[in-house]
This record gives sequence, C-alpha cells and structure tokens, in this order.
Amino acid sequence: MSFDILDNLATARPDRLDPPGRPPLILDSAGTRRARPRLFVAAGALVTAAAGVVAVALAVSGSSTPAPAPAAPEPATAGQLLLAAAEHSEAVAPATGGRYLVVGSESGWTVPTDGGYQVVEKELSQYWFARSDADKSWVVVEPLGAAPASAADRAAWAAHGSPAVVHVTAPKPFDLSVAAPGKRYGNVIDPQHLFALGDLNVSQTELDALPTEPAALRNALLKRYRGGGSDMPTDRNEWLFSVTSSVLMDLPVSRAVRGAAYHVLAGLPGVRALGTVTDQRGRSGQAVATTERQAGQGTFEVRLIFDPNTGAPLAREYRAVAPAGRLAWLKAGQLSSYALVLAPEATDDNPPAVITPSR
Amino acid sequence: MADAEQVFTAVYEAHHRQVYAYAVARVGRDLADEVVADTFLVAWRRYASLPRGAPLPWLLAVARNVVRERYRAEVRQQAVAAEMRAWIGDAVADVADGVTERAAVLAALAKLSEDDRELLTLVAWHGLKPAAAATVVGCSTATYFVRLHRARKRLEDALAQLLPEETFR
Repeated sequence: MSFDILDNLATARPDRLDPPGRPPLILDSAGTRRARPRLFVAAGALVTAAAGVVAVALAVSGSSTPAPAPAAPEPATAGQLLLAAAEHSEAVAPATGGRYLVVGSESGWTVPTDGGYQVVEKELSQYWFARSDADKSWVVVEPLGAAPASAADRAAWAAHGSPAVVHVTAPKPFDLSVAAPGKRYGNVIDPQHLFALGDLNVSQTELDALPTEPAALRNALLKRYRGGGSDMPTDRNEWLFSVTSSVLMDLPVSRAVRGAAYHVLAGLPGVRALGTVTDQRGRSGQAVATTERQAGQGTFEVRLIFDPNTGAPLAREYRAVAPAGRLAWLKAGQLSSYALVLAPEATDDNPPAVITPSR
Repeated sequence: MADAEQVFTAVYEAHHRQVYAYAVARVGRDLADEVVADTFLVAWRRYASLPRGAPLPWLLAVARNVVRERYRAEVRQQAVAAEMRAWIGDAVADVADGVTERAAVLAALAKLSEDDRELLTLVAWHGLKPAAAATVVGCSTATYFVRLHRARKRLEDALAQLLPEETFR
C-alpha cells in the first residue's frame, strides 16, 4: 500500500478553514474535488503550462510504428477521420509482459527570452507501471532543455552568441539551460490515485467501467461537467472535447473505450479536419482541431493528431488564435505547447535513478 | 457586457470562502475576515485586471500580498501558531478514525516554514493545481514542482520524527 503525505494532509484539513455559520465548501472537502494527482500532475502541469492546461500525457495503448501516410482516398471530414480511427483502434495488440509497462510523453511549450527570441522548453515524462506488487510504480520527469522556436529564433539566438543558458521572461522570469541538464526527478506513485478526468480524480476502476458505446460514454463524461473553469474550458462542448481528448491521449482505457471516444469527438460541433500533418517529432498523422477559449489567456486552436489507420493518438498541440493575458506575447498561429504520446513499452529494466523527495 | 458590480458579486460569492480558507491558514481565524475584506477591496479596485474565467489564483495572489503587507512577520507567526494549536486540539478531540495521523500531520505541518506550509496547503487544502499554485506564489510551474518536492520531504521528515515508523508502513 502506498502512502502519500499530501493525501494525508488533505484528509487533515481543519474545519476551521471554513467560515463560521456556513456549510463547508464542497469544492474544498478533501477528496471530493482536489488538485489532480499531485506530483504527477506537477509533472504533467509542466507539460502544457504555457497553455495553462494540465495534461498528464499518457496512453497505454497505441502503435509504436510511425504512422504511414493514410491510404487514398483520404476521408474528407473530421467526423469521417475520427470514425476511421475508431474503427481501427481495436486492431493493434497492446504491449504486454515485462516487469514494467512504460508509457511516456514528450512535451514542450514556447517561452519568450530577454534576447527577443523565443525558445521551446521541452520535457520527457514517463510512467513506470509495475506489473506485480513486488515492484513499485514510478513517475519520472526529465527536463530536455530547450531549442529556439523557429529558424528566425535560432538565428537570433546565434546572434546573441548561442548562450547555453537563456533568460526566460514570461510568464515568470527564470534561467533555462539549452542543453538537457541530465537530471531526472521522480516519485513513487499509486496508479489507483493517479488519473483525473477533467478536474475530478478518477480511479482505474472507474476508468475500466467507462462505457464503450459512444452515446453512453458521452453521457458518462458529461456527468462530470460542473461548469468547467480553472484550467478547463467553461463552454460545455469545449469541455467535452477537452475531456474526451484526454481519454484518448492521457488515460489508460481499453481500446473499445478509445474507439467510443473517437465517436464522441466526431459528434461534436466545431471539430474540423486539418488533413495530413506532422507532429513535433516528424510523425505523420491526421489532425482535427477545435477552438478553445482559455480563462485569461485568450483563444487557442487545439489540434489532435492521430493515426486513422491504427487509431493511435500521436500528439496534442495548442496554437495561438487570439492570445491574451500572460500569453499575449504569442503571435497568432504560433505553437504554444505540445504533448507527444510515445509508444508504450514493456520492459524488465529497473526504473532509472531519480532525484526523489521522499525515498 | 455584464455589469461590473454583478460580475464582482458573482466572483465574491464563488470564491470568498476559498480566500477565507487561505487567510485562516496564513494568519489564523481572528485576522482572516480582515484579509478577505482587503483582498476583495483590492480586487474591486483592480477590477479591470481580474481574470474572469478562473479568478481564484489571482485572488489568492492578492490575499498573499495583503497578508504580507498588512501583518509583520512576527504577528503572522504568532497568529498562525495559535491557529495551528487550535487545529491540533480539534484533531485530538475528534473521535473519528485516523485521529492520530490527522493530529500528527498537522503537528508536523506546524514545524515547517511559512513558505513550505503555503506550498503544501495550496494543493492539499485549497484545491489548486500546481500551475495555479505556482501563479499564487509567483514562480514558474517547474520551480513550484521542485519546491513542492522539497516541502513534501520536509513534511515527511517532520512527521517521521513525531510518529513511530510502523504507524505508516
């Protein structure tokens, strides 16, 4: 049994924090609605911090082969593409065996520097899920350094003498090493208390119970809609797109549930097909996109990239449409953040050595 | 466009309890009402910059400044020390399961620095996600992650000194 000091602290929340004479806030009651799994979310929060969207990019399904160019004739609409992905999402064998199932994601987000150019800060997150109780499950987060955001940014960085450390100016100033620092941070995790759907925690048992029929899945997800807010969209359809894409990309669900999730997306208004695109690792796939309004940060295009031939999710990208607030420095059309779904692997290796807070 | 006063009232209704909870954790119950009042006064004056969609991190950042500007460090420490004694007293008096652990984790929390307590309780008690908590304390999410790691470690160490090992494992 794993022990999480923050769970323990959440349970010990004093009643005196609530104003006298009023019922306690449901939002505040420990366990009802709390921050998503802490350290892991902290890791995930880095993923899309620039977009202000916490994404524990994680998928235990999917193909490891780069997506082949979709067979002609290409489906024309977003709905058709998503349905093609749904149809094929049951065809690929899951990674089995080994001591650990390792699922990973690479993520990055664009930040401005005091040199006037922009860089993309990158990070690798991995979950090591133990197959047996003899091993512990881990999250491992490895900063991957940074790269100039565009060719023009690279030229500007070079004109500044190609500094090894750049000074990021927003949203908060900090120094960022261009080379990967070679450090890994990590922590033991309890997979039963790791995942979140929207901003509510969800157990593996609950994930396993998600319906595999599209309309039922849609209803089950919408039951968790409480008006959105915080880092979730408040518009119901935008919220459903966000949560459903999270089911596809971030959560360990069955292939049948994933197929149903593609159907749910296909039924949403405002989802458009972008055709064949490549993700930030150059993997080719089909993209669908929607527009999401983010509290205090303006409007972004959310792009889901997937392989319609295998149903494998590949990436999620946020691009500025009308950025505002602390992301106002982004230009329209510019990549704000991305998360790449990496193919899950079964391994007998030990998790890498990590800098850990507690063990 | 909605009337400013209506929007402000809605924000107050939605979030004043959360601001109150944060204030209690920082300066104790006796001063919390003052902090809440000052925070929303500032929010009203700076209405134009109040984020409409998710104002809580912004409000807590304001409350944090109010706490620091309004009360000297020793005043805060005395007030919050009394508050934490009350928490521990309540936890000990509670007959529910897990009494020992609740009282112990609160006692361990009381041994930490003001900064560490804030980092831990923003997530554990105030329901903030790390990105939002980072906004409140004014650091990057990456920095928050590292600082939270360290605060956790110190809380675990403090707890380990208070309790026999077998209680937890």
